[in-house]
Amino acid sequence: MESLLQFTLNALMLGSMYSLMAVGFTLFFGVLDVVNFAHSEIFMVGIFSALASIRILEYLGINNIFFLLIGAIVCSCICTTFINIIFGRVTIKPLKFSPSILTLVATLAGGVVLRYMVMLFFPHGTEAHFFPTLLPGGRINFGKIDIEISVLLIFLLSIFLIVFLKKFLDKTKIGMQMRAVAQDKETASLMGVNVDAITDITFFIAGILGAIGGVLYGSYYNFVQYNIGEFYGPIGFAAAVIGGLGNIYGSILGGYLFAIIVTFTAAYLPGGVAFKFPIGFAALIIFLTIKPSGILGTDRGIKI
Amino acid sequence: MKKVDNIIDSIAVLGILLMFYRFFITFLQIENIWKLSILVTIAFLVILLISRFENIKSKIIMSFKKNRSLTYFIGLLLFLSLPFSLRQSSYWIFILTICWLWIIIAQGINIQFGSAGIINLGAAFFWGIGGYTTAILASRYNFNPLIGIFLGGIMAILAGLPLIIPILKARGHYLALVTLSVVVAFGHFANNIKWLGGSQGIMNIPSVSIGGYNFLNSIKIFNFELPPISNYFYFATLLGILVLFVCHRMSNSWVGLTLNSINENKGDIICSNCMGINRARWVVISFSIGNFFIGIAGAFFAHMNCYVAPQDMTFYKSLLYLSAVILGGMDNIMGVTIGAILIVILPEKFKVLQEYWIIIFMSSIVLMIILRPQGLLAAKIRNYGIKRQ
Amino acid sequence: MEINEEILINLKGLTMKFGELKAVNNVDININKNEIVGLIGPNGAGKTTIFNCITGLYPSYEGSIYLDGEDIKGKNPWEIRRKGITRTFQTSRIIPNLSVYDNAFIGSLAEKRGPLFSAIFNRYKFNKELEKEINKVNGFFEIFNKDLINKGFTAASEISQIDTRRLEVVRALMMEAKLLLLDEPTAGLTMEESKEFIGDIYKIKEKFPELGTIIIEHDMEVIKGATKRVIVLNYGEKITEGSFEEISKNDEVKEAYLGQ
Repeated sequence: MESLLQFTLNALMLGSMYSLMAVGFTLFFGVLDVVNFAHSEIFMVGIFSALASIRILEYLGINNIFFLLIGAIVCSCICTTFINIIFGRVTIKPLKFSPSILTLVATLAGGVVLRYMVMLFFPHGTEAHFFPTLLPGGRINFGKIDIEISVLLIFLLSIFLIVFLKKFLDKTKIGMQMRAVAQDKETASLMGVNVDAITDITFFIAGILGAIGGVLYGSYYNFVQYNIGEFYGPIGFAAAVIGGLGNIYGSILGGYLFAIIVTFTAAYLPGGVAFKFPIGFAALIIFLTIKPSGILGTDRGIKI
Repeated sequence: MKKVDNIIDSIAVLGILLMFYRFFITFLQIENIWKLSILVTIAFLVILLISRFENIKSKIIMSFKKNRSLTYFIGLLLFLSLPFSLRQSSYWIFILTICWLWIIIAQGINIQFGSAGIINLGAAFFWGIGGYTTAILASRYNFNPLIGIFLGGIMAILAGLPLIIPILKARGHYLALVTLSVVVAFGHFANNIKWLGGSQGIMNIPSVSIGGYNFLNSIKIFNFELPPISNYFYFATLLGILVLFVCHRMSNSWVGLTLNSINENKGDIICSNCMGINRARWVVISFSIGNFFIGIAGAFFAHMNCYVAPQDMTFYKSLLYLSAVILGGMDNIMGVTIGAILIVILPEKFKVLQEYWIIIFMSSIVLMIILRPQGLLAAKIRNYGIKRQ
Repeated sequence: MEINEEILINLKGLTMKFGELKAVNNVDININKNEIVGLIGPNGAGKTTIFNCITGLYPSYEGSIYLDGEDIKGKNPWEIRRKGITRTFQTSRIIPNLSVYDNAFIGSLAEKRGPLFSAIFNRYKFNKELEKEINKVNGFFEIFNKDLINKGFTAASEISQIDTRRLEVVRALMMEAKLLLLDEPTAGLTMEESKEFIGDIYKIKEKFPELGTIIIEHDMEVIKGATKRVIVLNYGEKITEGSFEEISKNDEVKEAYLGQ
């Protein structure tokens, strides 16, 4: 019974990370009808800009964990959103009218560029770097359940961020414009929505998600490397598709579902460690075959 | 007068081919980066100069057109003599062989993506299937490597068939995701399975041997001794020419047209459907033929290098294969060939830019997609080989 | 069911729903062989929807559609084409980057036997097929517009609007057909061109005497000039049918159009 608990907690942790990644992909697909494969690299950029700012802050003598945390998040947000908006202007905007497959390939290639830029230009970029633990340590007891505070925090924060994003899209004026663009780009622009600005804003939001997600990831796992995006990208996308591309809550569902599949395959299937990701991706392929719109997505019919 | 003109044309063709041959050999063999840059610049300027003078340029083009067979014959002869000229630098013979493999793979992807519009981000997976199949058959069950290579291609076809259903149902991005997940999943998988050799892969794969003649022997001919890699070079040339021939014939026929018609972007799925074309059938055909080529290339590589390992089966590799098509020219056999050659030779030649090549190629993809999505050599209007009236 | 030899296609109780919306509601239509029938109605009346049901693009309709006595419900569009139902589209679906010939050739790709094998190994057979197809297309171009013969290998994006429409019709008829569905073939054409098009329809009639045709049109001149019988639709329902003179006097029809 104890192991079951442990595995569930693992799944919880993974799920939080996966869903944060997934929500980025879903945002791009939902609003701009575009698959942005570079989002996982933005997450990586978030990690490294946080790392860079932490080192600078430490150099400046700031050692208080709380300030470092806030400082890392703020600096990373600024950096990551800036880079992301530029990325969007270079790869997505010029391809507004091209077939979507080309945009996908462009973001794929662009993402690799981001990855190798970091590898080449961050000092000792090829090595794994240590990322300090910025989250409070210690554990909390809920009766029989024993959770690390950081895991709980990450879980709560990720859910909070995603729900906040959903509320933002539903209730604010900008959110409404984003949803209009998601429905129909042309009509939205005819109604006065500045689609280019919305594109920038989408990349901005994705940058923030990447920055915060990156800080959380680094704080928990403590070792980061430039090729993290290569690993998390397909997973994030898989989670987004399973939950329903375009559906914000779907990314929560998809993220945790994928995490559960992976954790429990490794835990309970003999030799499962080798299979855990293949099975996760097999689940993805099954979804793509039977219900490509995912669990919470709506079927978009083919127009004749 | 005509006879003299013709002789002059033929001499011109011969001369230009020889010059190009000499340039190519020198290009490959120069080590010093400065001398290399000078050579490339000179070549570039010469080409620029010639293209400026319209009458010289058209005269040259006319000479080649009039002497088609001579061009092919001399070209082939020169090509086959490359290992002779390069016998001191066997590394380059190796690289040229790799070029052929990439050309074969690129043609496979061109059929899938350039013609039929099926994006195959899992190409590295099929390459690996080919490699692992022949590795297991040849090193553990003593299969003849030639059969192993063929079966590697067949296994690649079989491995692709289960994906047909998601591929047919999915459009655009979902399609890309299916093939992407396969290569990512298999990468994880292969790294952890002992039977496949884990992360080390399978090593000590036997070399090809045809009727007792083992490819590990050097070729002794006309008093020359060519390094053993030349065997693979000639074998690859044979396979490559066959593949190009098949692709050319397919493209300039009903097959090429059918594939274009079921292409999401280049054709019209609804229209071809209403005109009686069974898209499912042709998706299977094009996907399978493409995977066959990719699988064969992977198997060939396994025998040439005597090993196969999961780190060569990354999704980044798939992207690189795809870029030969995107950069070289979608649905253009010559373009794709040139794209493949550039992608192999440039990073090898300009090793000084080592890690930057990734950034260069990837940025080129982005730029090409934005500025010239049809690639360097755009697809031409199909004319089935009929000369223009 | 009783097979009436003359009836080419029979729609009985055809109903097509999109969610709660009935785009087509309980429509009965009979088309005889070698008839040219017009299908008219205000925008949104369900005309193209009926075409899409017949050709198999909307497979989930209620009611039945019989072609030559055979129920074609649930068949794929490509199977339905091979049974003899061919069509053109409201927005000309000509592929701009392929040649004029290639666009036409698409119409008969489905009847090629063993194209892969002959492409690689039996070039002689392929060349014979190619020659036959080129002659077939040129035969059509002779009837419609001789100039097109010279443009066979130029990009389809370079021909005029009316020639594009003609090319679509050629493509539709490259393979044997029993029923031709024309969806607003003169949309975007000038008055002159539309008149020319009526002539084109008669030329098709001459070339294919057994072919049944249904034309969706908004241009009443074309309907008057080309069709012998007209079916009128409004809000998904058939309100009347008859000759052009008869239906133009019908009050309901007038209301449907005036209410536009």
